[in-house]
Amino acid sequence: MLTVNQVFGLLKKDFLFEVRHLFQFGAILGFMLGIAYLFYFYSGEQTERAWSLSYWFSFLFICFFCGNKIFVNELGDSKLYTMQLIHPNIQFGSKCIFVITELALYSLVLWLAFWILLPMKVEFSFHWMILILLCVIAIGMILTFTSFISSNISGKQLLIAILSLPISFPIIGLGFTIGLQLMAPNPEFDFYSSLYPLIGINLFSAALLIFLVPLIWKS
Amino acid sequence: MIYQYWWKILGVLLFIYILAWGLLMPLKPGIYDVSPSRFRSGDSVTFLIKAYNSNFLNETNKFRVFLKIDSLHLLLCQKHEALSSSEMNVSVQLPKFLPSKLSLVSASVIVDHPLEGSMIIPSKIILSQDSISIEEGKIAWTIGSRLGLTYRKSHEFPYRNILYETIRNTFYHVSLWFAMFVMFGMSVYHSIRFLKTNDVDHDLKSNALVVTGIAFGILGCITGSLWARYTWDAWWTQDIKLNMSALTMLIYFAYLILRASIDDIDRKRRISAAYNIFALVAVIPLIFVLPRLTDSLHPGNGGNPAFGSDDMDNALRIVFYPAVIAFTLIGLWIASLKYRIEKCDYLISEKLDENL
Repeated sequence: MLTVNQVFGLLKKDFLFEVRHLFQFGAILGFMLGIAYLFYFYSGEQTERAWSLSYWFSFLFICFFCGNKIFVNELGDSKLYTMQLIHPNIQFGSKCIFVITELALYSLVLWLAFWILLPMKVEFSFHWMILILLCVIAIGMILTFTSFISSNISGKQLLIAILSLPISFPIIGLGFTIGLQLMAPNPEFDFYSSLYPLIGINLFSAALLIFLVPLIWKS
Repeated sequence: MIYQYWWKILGVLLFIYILAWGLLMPLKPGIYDVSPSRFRSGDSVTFLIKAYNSNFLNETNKFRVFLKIDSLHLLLCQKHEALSSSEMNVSVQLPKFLPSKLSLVSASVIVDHPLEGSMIIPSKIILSQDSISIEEGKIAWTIGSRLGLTYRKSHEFPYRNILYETIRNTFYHVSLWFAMFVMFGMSVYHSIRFLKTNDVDHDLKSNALVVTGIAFGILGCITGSLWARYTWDAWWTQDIKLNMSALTMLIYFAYLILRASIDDIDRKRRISAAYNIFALVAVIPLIFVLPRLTDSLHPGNGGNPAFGSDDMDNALRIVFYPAVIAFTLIGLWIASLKYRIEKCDYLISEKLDENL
């Protein structure tokens, strides 16, 4: 019960921080709309391939924006403070949940912006939601982990992108491929079996983080 | 001394063996071109066969040349004349009908000799027919006796179209990747041991193995790129395995950057060990799972079998398996040298710290 309370407490803290720093949210939102508008303005007639590619690449950039600020508040003096009060695993878990929620929100807003500005014959469906959610969970865990590593090396936030990019690439690739199939499906396409690699990556990442995070924290 | 260093000696001996055997063993004969290659059924045609490593001048009259549409329908060519050891003119009267309802059919050319063995170039000839009579085509394209092709029993590497002499690269390119994975696997073992015991030795070993593995990976990429240039006519393609291998390298370059960017030595060791474990687990789906889900030019991906009889025969296997062992042992040797250098650096820095 204490753990759940602590997780909720940390989530509330992160949420309040976001609310009190709305300019961060506004900046990312502005970036998303700007990107969508740029594509709308310059791309001309859209193909499914270009649409899906633009969406997932914009999503990747947003992930890195979010990744940069995951453990910012826990750096410096407050790091010692949180380390003393809350078990690192709980802190890491709550960060994961928060980042996944935040990324899910951003990715849906981005999808909406793309859908309005770059109209395609694509309907927002349950399939899209599942796909985006699975990608967000996988990237959210990876970003939290790399951000966690970077937080141990204060002032080297650039590492987040260097460490996360190659690992996120297959997830973005899978999102792009499956998204493309959702827009222009071929008869042999089976949505649920195409998700197995993503589910596998999610499970792998989760299992690994459960194993690795306590080991890093020892330092 | 031999007892202590047997694995190094074995590595060097195997390396010499794979260099000598892998580069000097000739290829089996094979056909690389047939011209012209488009014919109309019912015509009397002559075509030129060009072959590699062949000896058409050896008992020329014992050669048999077939056109093969499928396993049931073949045609024995009536006349052939060797122009040189590698060129042969073949004449045949094509039947009026083909055993197919299609107007265009591809046929393979098979050349067989009791001593030289048999060689084939698949689907090289395109046959056309103006009118269709499957029954008559079947009768005309069926030979009465069993084909009875000769298998040349010799220690030669198989001749594969597209690959030609580059088939030898299997021993170096693939073995380098195998050795790289052994290095990465062992480094993860040492990383886990380090995280559990905090013994610096394990971290030094792990780092040495990763660095050696990365060097092998780069060599694997270079040999693969050279191979691609000669077989696929491009230094780099959009093949999934190729690009996933590049990502693997990026993930491990990130490891090097991470390790170099942390100043606190204890923290550097712990974090890089954790990232090393994460990296290998991230690499497994990249190399072993994702390429199997889509089409790839590499064997063993996109549904085509790896190391099956189409890719490898026993002549290749007796070099390939020792090559994997040789590269692994040499890799371990290089890693052990790197480990000893780093260990010396570590001991010197410890000594300096004590003196200070």
